[in-house]
Amino acid sequence: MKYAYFPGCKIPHHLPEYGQSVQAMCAALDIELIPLEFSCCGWPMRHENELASIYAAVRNFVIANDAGLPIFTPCKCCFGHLKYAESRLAENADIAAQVRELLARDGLSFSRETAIFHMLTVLDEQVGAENLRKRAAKPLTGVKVACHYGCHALRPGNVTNFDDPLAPTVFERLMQAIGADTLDWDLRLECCGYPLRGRDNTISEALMRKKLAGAAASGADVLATACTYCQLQFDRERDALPAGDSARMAPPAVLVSQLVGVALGLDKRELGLDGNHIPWEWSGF
Amino acid sequence: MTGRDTLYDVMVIGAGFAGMAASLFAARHGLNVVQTGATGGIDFSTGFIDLMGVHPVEDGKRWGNPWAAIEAVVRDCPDHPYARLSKDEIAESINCFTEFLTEQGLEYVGHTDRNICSLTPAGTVKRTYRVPETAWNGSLALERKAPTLLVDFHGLKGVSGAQIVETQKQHWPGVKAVRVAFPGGRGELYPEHMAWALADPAVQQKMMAEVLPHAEDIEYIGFPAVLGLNDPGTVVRHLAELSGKRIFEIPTIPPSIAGPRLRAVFDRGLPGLGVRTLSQKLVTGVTQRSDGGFDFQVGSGPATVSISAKKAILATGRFFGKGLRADREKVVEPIFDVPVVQPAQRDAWHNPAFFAKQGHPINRAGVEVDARLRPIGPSGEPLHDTLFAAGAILAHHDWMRMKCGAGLAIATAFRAVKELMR
Amino acid sequence: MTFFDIGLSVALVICVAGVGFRVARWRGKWASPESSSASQWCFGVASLKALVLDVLLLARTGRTSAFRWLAHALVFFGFMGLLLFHALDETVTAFFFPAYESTLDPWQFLRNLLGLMTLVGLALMAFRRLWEKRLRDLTRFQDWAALLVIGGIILSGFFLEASKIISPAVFDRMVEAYFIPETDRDVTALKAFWSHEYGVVFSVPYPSDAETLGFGASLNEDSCVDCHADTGTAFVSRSLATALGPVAFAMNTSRADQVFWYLHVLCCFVALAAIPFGKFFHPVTTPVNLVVRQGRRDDPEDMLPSDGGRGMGMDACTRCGECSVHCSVAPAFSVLGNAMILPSEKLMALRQIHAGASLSEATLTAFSEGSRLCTECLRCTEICPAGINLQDLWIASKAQLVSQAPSPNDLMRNKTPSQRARVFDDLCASSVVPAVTGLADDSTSYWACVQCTTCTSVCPVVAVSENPSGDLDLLPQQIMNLLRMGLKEETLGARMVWSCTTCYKCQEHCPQNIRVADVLYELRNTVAARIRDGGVRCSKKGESQ
Repeated sequence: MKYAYFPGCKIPHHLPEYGQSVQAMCAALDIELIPLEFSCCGWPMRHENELASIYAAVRNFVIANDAGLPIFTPCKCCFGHLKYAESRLAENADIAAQVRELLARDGLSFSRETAIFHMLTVLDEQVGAENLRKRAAKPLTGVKVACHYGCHALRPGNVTNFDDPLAPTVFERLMQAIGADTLDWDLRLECCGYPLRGRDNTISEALMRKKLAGAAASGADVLATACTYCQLQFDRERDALPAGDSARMAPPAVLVSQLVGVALGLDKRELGLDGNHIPWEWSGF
Repeated sequence: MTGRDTLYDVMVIGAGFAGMAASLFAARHGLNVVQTGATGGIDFSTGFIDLMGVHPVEDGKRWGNPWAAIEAVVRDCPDHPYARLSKDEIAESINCFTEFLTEQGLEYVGHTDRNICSLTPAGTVKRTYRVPETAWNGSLALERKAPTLLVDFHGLKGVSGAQIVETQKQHWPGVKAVRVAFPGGRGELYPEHMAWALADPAVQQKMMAEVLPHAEDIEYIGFPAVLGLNDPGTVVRHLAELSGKRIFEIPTIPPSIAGPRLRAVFDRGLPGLGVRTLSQKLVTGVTQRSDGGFDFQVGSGPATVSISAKKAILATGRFFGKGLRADREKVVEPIFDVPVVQPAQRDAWHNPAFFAKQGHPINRAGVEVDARLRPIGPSGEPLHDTLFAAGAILAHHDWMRMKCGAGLAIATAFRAVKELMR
Repeated sequence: MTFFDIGLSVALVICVAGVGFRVARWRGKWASPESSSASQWCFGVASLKALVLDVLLLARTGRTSAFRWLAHALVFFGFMGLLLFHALDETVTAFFFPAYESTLDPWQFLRNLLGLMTLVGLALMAFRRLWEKRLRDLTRFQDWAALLVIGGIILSGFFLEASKIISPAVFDRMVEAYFIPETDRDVTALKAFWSHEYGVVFSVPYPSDAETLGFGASLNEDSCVDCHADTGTAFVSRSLATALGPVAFAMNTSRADQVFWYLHVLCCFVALAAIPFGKFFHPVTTPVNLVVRQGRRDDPEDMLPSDGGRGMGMDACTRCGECSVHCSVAPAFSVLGNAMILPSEKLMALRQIHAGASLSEATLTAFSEGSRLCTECLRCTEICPAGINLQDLWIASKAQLVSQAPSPNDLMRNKTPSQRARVFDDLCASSVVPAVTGLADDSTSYWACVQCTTCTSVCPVVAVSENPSGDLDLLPQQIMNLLRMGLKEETLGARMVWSCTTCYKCQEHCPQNIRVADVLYELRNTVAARIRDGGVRCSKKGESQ
């Protein structure tokens, strides 16, 4: 199991604990991650110019293809956008031609398709829930987990092909495999609000509060995330709220790689758990 | 459950009442099921399960006893899909379906041998067979002509308490209406958003504080169907405790949240039964396998999924559900190209009068099936031994006017599953 | 005062004043809150390590590119060697080696070696700038100027030495100063030896028989070798002198040695005076930056960045372009052609803004776009051989920029409703950059829309808005309705377009498969393209029609 590791732009500076825990978890599960010098996935550019966003994605396909590796990303937004670019190339000959021309200008070419996986899919399909269950040395027995799916991997389902866009199951399956209890949570498929940061902070914060309140009301110990942006919203942005704000007391957001890592018995520092701003210890696991 | 190389026992094509019912019944029988289809239609449902309400439609005759109505329709229209089914299997299918909903926390109620009268948002009364428990008190209030307050909200379109009162007050002097502001909501309101907000007990309390001053000497309070998204029962109980009154919901105009509530139950429940769901994906190609089964392409472009199944149930609905497609000349069934029963000429699709009571011939277009619900090919023989059809796509019924949509969908799905297991 | 003294004084004054001015400018105004933290520039073990590894051994340069390390090391060691042991020989070399004479070995040999190293390094640098496409696009006057001035110093130096080797005048001056001939034969023999062995080109030929040369050699041994080694060890200059053979007479008559001396000294003065300008400043600031901050970006409380640190950081840029070669969002540059998407170019504009220069609206718009597109991925910061905390500069400048060059998002939000409604009426869409997919302009995108409100109903943004029509102007299904009537302009200003959180629920749930979210993205693209092309007003279009 060997993949081209695509951490995306936000992990190195803004969310290093995600990168840390993904690497630790993958090492423990014999998933080999090869670092390549990828460019931005293109999603942040999509607000400005679609062609630029698609070209950025396709350059990454070329890099992965040259290494002969499928892409592995822990970020839902990266995943979603890479899939979007793939689908746009397939459906729109104009865009495909423009992209080819741009590639040629930069001395690149693109021939075959690139397999793109989100980390959850790799855990589910390559490692497998059963295998994970066997390897969970310290299962999270009794921990109630609210899974937060993240929009850009789920939707549009006919582009991302990630899981059932209305009734996904992969996240809960993995959490159950490591011994946690999962909750039927009304808002599990709703948006975290992070994409509006810097554009409309009022609504972004309202979306965050709504989800956090929902997670708290559902009785969760932990809000599990599998996306860089979602975690930034539920951890970093939440931490910017004033002390004593009720949203701070809602279940802490913990990355899926940290949860799996804990269950595998990895060291908590190695999983970057001390990097989480909203203390994960409150969750009681 | 990734099932990339799985040969499924059955592929259910469609995610409306018929598709969901077919998946449920098939999974209950232990079959390995995969389901695909867009949610189009179900989001527009009132959430009521009609069995048979109106016949003949040109007379607009309403039936209190759905079974008598079915007998009459089968007598007068021998091609009607109900003619293929026995009363017992219809009853069993509906019970089985509503029991599942109740198990999943969305309780349905009704009588065994008579229809319920239920208020519509326009103030008319509709005959239906099963309703969500949260609508039940409305039927009782209407039946008893009890002192009732109908609440609506500034900014919520399509539900007018005043209009219902206007329509009903002659027979029901005890009904009155009040329009209040929704807590925290200004401008336009949408049912799904209100339902989310009302999951919060604090919002329920604020809303009740607005309503209660108008509810002296009132026994029942009716609200638009916005009382909670996935757990309306709990919201209704809370409101009843807060007010000391009996609370009920009146469906809103589509898209209401009754549909999403139903869908949510199946989104939760079907994967629990081992069904693989491919929501919001349409079948874009099919080839028959040498063993009689089918290989499907689902979705398009790089996101295409290949699915193989031994048998298939076609439950794609009619036009809105994308089960039938009309071009300038004719109506076609786009997946298997099953011949569609339809008027010979395009001119004959519609009656000259748009609001003609008997409806339009095109409203009865659909696929013809044999006694085992297998679509019939051009030769008059079943097109495939392994293909069955259920729900609105069947020809010879006008479910919208006859008020038989959900019942017909559930019962034919029940039968189709039974037939494919033979 | 001599030419040398005047030139040196002028160059020094410009250099010192310029450096003072630039250093003084390091403290500037930053809008970012964290910029106020007091700086504690401490010189500890880490600084020493940075001095040795990063400054002296160019370790940070070596991390990213061996080629660039080689080029830079050749220039750095070559030129620093020449500076200390040649230009400052009287102070440095003579201090350590009292018997120092510039014409003795190893100095003569080393001077040639160091000069050659520098030249090769410069050639490699020039090659890299021409070979790497992106660098070629980004290379500016100052980059070539730096290469040319340094190259000029070295080349003029070689030519100076070569012209001295061949010069009889120089020979005569030396003979006059250091040689007391006993007979005329002595001078002839010495000239014969120097002409034959050391490459002096006399106007008349001298005998080359073994006896004369042998005698010349012994005279040379007695009187010259203590101060003058064989010119053969000046292997570059001597080869050059040989190559110059055909024009040697002409050079000697015109006293080329003096011409090249002026040229050489002039080049050195130009270089000295240029230090405060552009990338000439980096030999000063880059080492300071590396030693003070060691390329660290952590611990903002105790360390830089403070205001001064940011100013110094910006000046420490060597314009090597590594950041732009590896930039994560460089593909956007390939498409949009805006160089300020790339860190090295953005830094230059930022320096100008920081210096208080008033930039044109077009430049500010371009800078703002570059700033917005930056994902703060940290790669440029980690790569920067000068150890500049670019990440901090980007984050701080984003905050500062909001008021000066608003993003499309800010621009639209700051309008009143009536302004918003037709804000782009007089702006043409970009003709240069293909901006949009055309969904919004294609009526078939919406033909199936039944205005059922499902998109609005499932929208989480509408849901959390307390007053949707007030806060968002238009709701998703209303936008779709306007678009299918061809009223695209009326939708561009709607806050719903700008407050879309891109969750795709509308699109996923649409019973008619309308690409609602894709359309909203596209509307934002349309406005961004028009702002990018901001100068193109439709009045021009009116004229052309």
